[in-house]
Amino acid sequence: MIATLFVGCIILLAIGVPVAFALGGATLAAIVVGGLPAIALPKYLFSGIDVFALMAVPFFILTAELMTGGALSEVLLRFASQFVGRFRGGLGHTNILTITFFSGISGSALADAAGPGAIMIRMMRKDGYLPEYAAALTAAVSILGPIIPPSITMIIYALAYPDINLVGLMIAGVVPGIVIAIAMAIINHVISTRRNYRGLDERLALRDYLRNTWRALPALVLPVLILGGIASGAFTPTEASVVAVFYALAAGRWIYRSLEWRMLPSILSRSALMTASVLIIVAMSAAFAWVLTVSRIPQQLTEMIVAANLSPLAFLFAVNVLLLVFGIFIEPLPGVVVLVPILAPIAHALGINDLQFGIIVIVNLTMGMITPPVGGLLFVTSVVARVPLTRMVSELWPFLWAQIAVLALLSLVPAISTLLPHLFGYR
Amino acid sequence: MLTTFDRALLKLNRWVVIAILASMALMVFANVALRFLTDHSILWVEEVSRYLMIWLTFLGAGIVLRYGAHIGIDTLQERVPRAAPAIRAAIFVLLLGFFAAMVWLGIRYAVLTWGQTTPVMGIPIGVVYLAMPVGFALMIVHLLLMAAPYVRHKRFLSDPEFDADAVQL
Repeated sequence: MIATLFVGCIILLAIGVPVAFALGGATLAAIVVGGLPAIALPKYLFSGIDVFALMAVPFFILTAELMTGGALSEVLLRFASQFVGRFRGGLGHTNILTITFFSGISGSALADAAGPGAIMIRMMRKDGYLPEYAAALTAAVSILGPIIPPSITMIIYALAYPDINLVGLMIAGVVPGIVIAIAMAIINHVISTRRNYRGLDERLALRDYLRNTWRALPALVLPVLILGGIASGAFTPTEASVVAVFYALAAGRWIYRSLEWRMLPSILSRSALMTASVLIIVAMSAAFAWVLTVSRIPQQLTEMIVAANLSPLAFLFAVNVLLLVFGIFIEPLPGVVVLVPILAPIAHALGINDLQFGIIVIVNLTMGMITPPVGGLLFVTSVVARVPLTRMVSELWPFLWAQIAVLALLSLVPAISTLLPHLFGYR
Repeated sequence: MLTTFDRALLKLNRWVVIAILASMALMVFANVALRFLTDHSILWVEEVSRYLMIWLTFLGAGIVLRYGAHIGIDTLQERVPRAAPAIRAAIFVLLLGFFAAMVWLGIRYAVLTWGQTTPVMGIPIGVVYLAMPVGFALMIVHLLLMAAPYVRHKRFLSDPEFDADAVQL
């Protein structure tokens, strides 16, 4: 039964069946082979998505869509540029800072790459940066989308491992996200020095700083509203997501005036379809995970690893290698739904902090979106930069190595992930 | 070229998912506002919005299919371009079989649970579970409509309003 589940899924994925239906098809085949009641399939399909907390997924998607349609990216960009633009590789640093801000509004990596990322790639091209470098940098920084809250991946993670506190997990993502942004900035600095990518030579007066900041303020309120609202307990993540939708609508319509009512149907339809494509994967993965549980493989694996008396660090190392390899082939969401129910309880039993482990898994699986040869983020950025994917790969390696170094740091130093949530009372 | 039927179906399907998402947002937002202003909230909102989300998922998946926007791995088809139409024909048959099985299982499940009612609204829970057979039947219709251009040339619908590249998460 388990062989059918895994071999079936791998074959279906390899020939190009969409992930959702490969998971569902393999689950159906395993149910038939294993003689399980077939009616359990619709049952677990529904229970996988019949969850109020999931409502934050469509709402955060909608917020990012409402914010991208218009002046927002430009406003954030000018705000970021005034701080880092004059340094060597200034436009690269501006890119990093803009996407870091935007990650506080969007919950997905592709929203980052397709929104402000696309604008930054075009600007960097025009300014004389190698287009494949601009694309690689943007892809590498866009992984912050699901690491800095809000985060669709974290919502799914909390569903896959109910013992974790979603609010704590979201707060835990802030510092690791900033650490990754700094690591990317170091690589950008080194490469810009080597290639002599200059900074922007615009002289700004205090008045310009004030004006840029004032213009960016309504946009900057949103990450504060979301994170602050959730962390203080004023909102649940779901409530914060719907408040963010209407704030983004109001800001786009009446403050930035870039959002027209007639744009709403297409924004809504795009968000609705993105929601459907995410939730159908979540539903199918839930049924897949159920067959896995029935097989008792996760329980046996847990007993084996706990009995082997593995040190927590050795386990974390093994998990990182496993996920990096898995991440090349599978997308973060099915990865979370299928692997987290197996791995997170083992980590817990070994005494690893739940929040630290969650951050490691999410950072690692999101990196899978930029590990060559395939990855959703690489695809989007290569299309925008108009460079073939293969030429981007060599530009990508420095960023990937830096992220692997951050991953090692996150594994060795729990405090990076746990200190901030700890201050808010989450463990 | 799209037939009149196809065009009408896509338009209707699109407006239905737009209406569902818009009403989910309005409903949940109104409830949050109400909780802040009056300390009360409407009980049925959580239930209804959850069920709308389920319907949205199954009704939306068909259009996502039309745009080629379900995440998948195309590496094999790109490596062996000659065999690609045969591979896509196989995918088409597999999907058709899977969708048909899901329609059948979905109907059985809805019938089986029809007697139960939802906790707050008291409507038959089968009304919610019908989303699955209806959604997969709709996916079969979309799959049949896209079959020829997909199998032959891997061509999907393209529409500036729903860009296939923007949909993968």
